[in-house]
Amino acid sequence: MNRGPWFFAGVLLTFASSFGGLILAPQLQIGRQSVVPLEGLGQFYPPARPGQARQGAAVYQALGCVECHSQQVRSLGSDLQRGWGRRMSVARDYLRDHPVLTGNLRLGPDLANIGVRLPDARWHLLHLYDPSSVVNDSLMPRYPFLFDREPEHARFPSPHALAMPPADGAPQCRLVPKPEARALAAYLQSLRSDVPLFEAPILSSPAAPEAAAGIPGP
Amino acid sequence: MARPMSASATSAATAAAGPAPRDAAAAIAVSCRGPVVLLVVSASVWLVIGGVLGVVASIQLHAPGFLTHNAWLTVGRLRPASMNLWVYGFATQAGLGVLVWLVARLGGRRLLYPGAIALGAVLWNAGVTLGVVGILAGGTTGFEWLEMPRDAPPLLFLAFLLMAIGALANVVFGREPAGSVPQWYLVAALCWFAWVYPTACHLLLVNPVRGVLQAAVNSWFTSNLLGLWLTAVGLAVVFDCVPARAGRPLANRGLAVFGFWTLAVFGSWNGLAPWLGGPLPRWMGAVGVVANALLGLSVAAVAWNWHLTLRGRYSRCRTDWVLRFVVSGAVAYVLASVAGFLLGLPCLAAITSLTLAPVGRTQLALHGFVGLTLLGAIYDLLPRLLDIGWPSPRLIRFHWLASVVGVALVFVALTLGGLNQGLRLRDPDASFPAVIQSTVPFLGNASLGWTVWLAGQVAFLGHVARLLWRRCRQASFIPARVRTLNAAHPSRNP
Ligand code: HEC
Repeated sequence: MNRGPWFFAGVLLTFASSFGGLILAPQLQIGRQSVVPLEGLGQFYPPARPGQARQGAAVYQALGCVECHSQQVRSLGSDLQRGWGRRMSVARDYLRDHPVLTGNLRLGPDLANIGVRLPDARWHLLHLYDPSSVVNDSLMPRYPFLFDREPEHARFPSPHALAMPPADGAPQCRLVPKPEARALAAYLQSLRSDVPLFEAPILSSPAAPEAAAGIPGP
Repeated sequence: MARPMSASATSAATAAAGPAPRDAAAAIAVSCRGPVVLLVVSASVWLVIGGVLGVVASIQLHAPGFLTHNAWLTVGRLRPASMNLWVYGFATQAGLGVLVWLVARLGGRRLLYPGAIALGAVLWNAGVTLGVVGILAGGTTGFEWLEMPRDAPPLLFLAFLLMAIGALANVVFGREPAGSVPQWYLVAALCWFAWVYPTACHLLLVNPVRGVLQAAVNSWFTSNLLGLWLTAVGLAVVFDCVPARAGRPLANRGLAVFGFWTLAVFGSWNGLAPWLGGPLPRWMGAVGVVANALLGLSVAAVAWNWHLTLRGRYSRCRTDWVLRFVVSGAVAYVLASVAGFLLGLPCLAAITSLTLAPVGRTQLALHGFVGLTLLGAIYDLLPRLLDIGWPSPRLIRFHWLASVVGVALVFVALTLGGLNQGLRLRDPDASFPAVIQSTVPFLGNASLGWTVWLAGQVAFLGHVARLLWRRCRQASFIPARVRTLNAAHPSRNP
């Protein structure tokens, strides 16, 4: 292979160009982005997740919810009209996530703002136990192993127990979410990217102008 | 198989020169036996296991009550597990097996460092096992095609290095001067994997980049793993097989040079096309779209070259099963590339991004192109290495039919399902659960496709087992080198 060295150099150079262009360049462009202070609140966006929600993120990751759910509101398509978010998602929304679970298939609705859309933990728990008990014709799988049951008149009733969904055929029992389920619900409640940002203002909302004004640029 | 089995240009040329070089070819084949058979047979086992998990996961998408009582069996774990089994268990492993055999044969010299390569194969399988059990146990990292928990990648990479260095040594120290078209692709493929895999693991798992850049690195990784590593191995197989089995040299070497370098330049830039409209800087998606379009040059050059080489001899596919598998894979390559180009166009991407359509395209590239070409190569190499013919042409025929029909069904169902999903979702008033319900018939057809496909792969695994069993029962006292390949292939020299 007398041209061998040239060949190797060519292969490595072409590939290095893509590494530089698609990995290093964006790293330089947005790698230093930081959280932004929210005017007058003493808080930052994106906020750090409370402990239970952080555990819930791990449950979400381990159960592979990302296989069916995205977490990115896009500017194309009907995402905004559907109410999946008040603005499109931008890089800053993900600053605190590892792994970033943006997802690439939507067999379920986008969850970037599920905490805004459905803030009720009980709803999420019942939905996880049996999605079709709260959403007609749901194609989401059930996650019954995240729950225990206890008899209706238990001697030491769990403070977290819920009424069984009526269709379940066990009316004398109550549903006790395991800690994983409660963490997962807390995580879903924490999913919200509704803070207006310099690079992604909220246009339609009347409250947006002054809120956006309070936030410094990138 | 009725066709003469002279697969390579080299061995076809040497076979004409008399018995002594044929002995040399047989000796090379025997020298590859240990590591390559190990790689190819383990790959075939993973192929079937991954296929079973994939069928279950596919059914779960439209029958949500199927197997939900155990976290290990939920779709969120089975789906990534089956993809990882396909990518690492089958495609990469079989690809390495085929690659080792090709470099030895094209180098015209008995395989160097078979021990290191075999050790690499053992470690690789250990890594795949560890990783997939980890995914099923809930240890997924959450990154597509890198779901295997953190302990697995170092093992896999070490195993890869052992095999890759062994293979490269065979290129560098080969007897025949290196520089044939398949060799370009093979050497480049090794370089690409050696770069992209550890880089992505480092930037995602060890020392993660921040925020959404992880998603960018992830897309860069998956597109390169498929578009460069697996694609290059598949293309090497086609470039090796087509001229040899068409019985004439490659039509146009200049075109091959062009096709190779356009792949090298644009193939690594197109990974971020699906992000147009997403939370990454806008130019990244745009660059991906442009690269995707330019990649069409490479595909056109490569496909035209194959066509010129095969022109007038396509009928050989009727009797030559190896050629039939490889040509079907080549057709799938062209189709998957066209589909990728179309789905990358911003007007269509606005409808189909994040739907089932891109999944269908990826499956066509993986199971159609990479799968069929590698299986064709396996049908060619196992009889040579083991010095025994395939027991049943009917099983091969069934395998081919089931694979092609299955993949086609999956691709069509997912593409149409994705279009249906995307078009309906454009109406903001359409309820989401109802839209997803309307994809059920498409998902059901995809499951049917996977089942048909799996039936073919089970037949294949059974066939491989029968081949091995026969080989073991054969009088193994006669050193294989003494018998020429002819003995086992009465049809070899008509
Ligand atoms: C097989 C695909 C699939 C998987 C896996 C999946 N989901 Fe779903 N999900 C759906 C579908 C379909 C819907 C829409 C129907 C419904 O609301 O039940 C949905 C709806 C939802 C909703 C309500 C969204 C809304 O806007 O109404 C939440 C919350 C949710 N899923 C959370 C999860 C979590 C958490 C997991 C992981 C434990 C998960 N999903 C796994 C398919 C899936």
